[in-house]
Amino acid sequence: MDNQQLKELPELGVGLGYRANLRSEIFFHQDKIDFLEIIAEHYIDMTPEKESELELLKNHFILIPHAINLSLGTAETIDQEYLIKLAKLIKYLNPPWWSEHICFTKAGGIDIGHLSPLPFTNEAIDVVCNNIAQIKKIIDTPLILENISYLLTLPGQEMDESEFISRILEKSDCGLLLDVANVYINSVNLNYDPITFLKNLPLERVIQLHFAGGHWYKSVLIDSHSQNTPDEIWDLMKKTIELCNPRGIILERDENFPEFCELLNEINHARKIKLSTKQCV
Amino acid sequence: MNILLNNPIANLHGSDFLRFYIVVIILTTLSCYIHIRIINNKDSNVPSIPINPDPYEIAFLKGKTTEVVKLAFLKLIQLNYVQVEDNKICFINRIIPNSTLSSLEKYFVDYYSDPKNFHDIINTAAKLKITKEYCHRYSLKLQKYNLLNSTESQINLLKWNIFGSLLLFSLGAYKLIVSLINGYNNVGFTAILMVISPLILYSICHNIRITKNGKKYLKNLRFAFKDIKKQSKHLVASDPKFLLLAGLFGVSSLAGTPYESYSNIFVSDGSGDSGSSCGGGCGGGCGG
Repeated sequence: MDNQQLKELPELGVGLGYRANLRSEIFFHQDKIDFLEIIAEHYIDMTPEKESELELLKNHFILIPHAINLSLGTAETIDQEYLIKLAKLIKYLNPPWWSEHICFTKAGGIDIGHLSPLPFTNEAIDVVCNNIAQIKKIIDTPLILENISYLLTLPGQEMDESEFISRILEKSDCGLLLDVANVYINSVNLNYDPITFLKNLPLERVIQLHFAGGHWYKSVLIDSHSQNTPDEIWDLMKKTIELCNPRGIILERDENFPEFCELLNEINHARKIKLSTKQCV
Repeated sequence: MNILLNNPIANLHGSDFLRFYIVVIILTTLSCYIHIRIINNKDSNVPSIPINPDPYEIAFLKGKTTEVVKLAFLKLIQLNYVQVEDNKICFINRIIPNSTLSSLEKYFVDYYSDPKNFHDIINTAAKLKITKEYCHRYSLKLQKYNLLNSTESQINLLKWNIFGSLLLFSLGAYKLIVSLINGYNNVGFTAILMVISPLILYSICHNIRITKNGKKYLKNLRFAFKDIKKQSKHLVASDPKFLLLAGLFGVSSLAGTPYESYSNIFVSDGSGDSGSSCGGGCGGGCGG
């Protein structure tokens, strides 16, 4: 994805990660939500009800598929059957881009059911990039990759995370879905400076941002998408937008759902940050 | 007279006539069905889900003036103009401030005086001229968006239905009479087909008011606002979402809410409305 291709991607604004229990409120406030991100796996092997849901959403919103189980870091290559189903879904939605995580969720034929961190090694970069090359043969739509949150650093690291992500993005020629909350949470749990981390990334490749609030468990900050976005993450988002030009920003919320107006307030706040920051820049 | 008793149809033997009769039934029903499909499948898009869906418009689409009247009384109950006691409606407040009442609701407050059986009220109110006039705007709008068939189309379809039913019944009756005159008593199957075939035609072709788009639109609305039914048990009584809930899914969907006694009127009497699965809303989580 060269600079020209990046420039051609549309500005989507600020949206929300779609969750079925928010459906009615989303439709009541369609005018305040610029686009939706859907979990791709929820619409693979669909029931008739899910088909109706997807059709209805597609007719009212721009939908960005967010995959969680391709397992880009799995050395045994991508599940072809799964990939074909995902390609069919993406073709149907015709989104400007789609996303997956830099992680692995499957190994040795076992589905871990969790976004697990990869060792920051050259071998892992090759595995991820080979898998992406395989995906790109089947899915033309631009793929953007998301940084995950993790609680442990694996032994035998050959580089730090920002270099690992940068090299994957450059080698696979993908965009970046920068999860600002994950950057903040990792910086707290692993004790590093989030701004330095950001500046070491190829920020010209940032296409989309994620933001959310996590919760504390003892002395660990958990990326649970269960709380309102804290000031620290708002600040980090502002600094990120000063450094790059994300085409879309998504609020993620999975648990402890508040009154919908609180989610709308967060969406609106992100919109204001983007507008004010861009004006200043 | 001779030609009535002596012609190709009259002379057909029992089993031959039954075969011929069944072919006529199939062709008549099929032609009515195709005619309905052609009218219903006018090329137009299903409208988008509106941000502020109008419960009254949806109620009218779903069930004509009767559903609109049910909703109007629900609103009067919400605003404490009306109370439900033993299946009867009592007006407890007749002072109308410059409120949010529509002209129809204001009229009902003025028009009905003594406590009345609710079904009497619904039946009379739905037939009032003012109710029909008030709902005319919905009718026009829904026709414009191809959600309801136009009055002309409905009449046209009704004519087809009546003509088809008469044709099938007359053919059977004619053969029955001719057979009896000629001394044949084995006319059981003909008699059965004569009665059943118009009913089959009616069951397939009677739904001529709502278009295919209208049904799809209702389905979309119900799906989009499905989870409001779950929320309804926690809403405050004055929440306008109750109106949309009843508009979309019928008054029976108010069971378990502060308006359960109102919903029970229809359930206990067996006149439950067409409410099906879930609920709707009209403002949003933040009262907007």
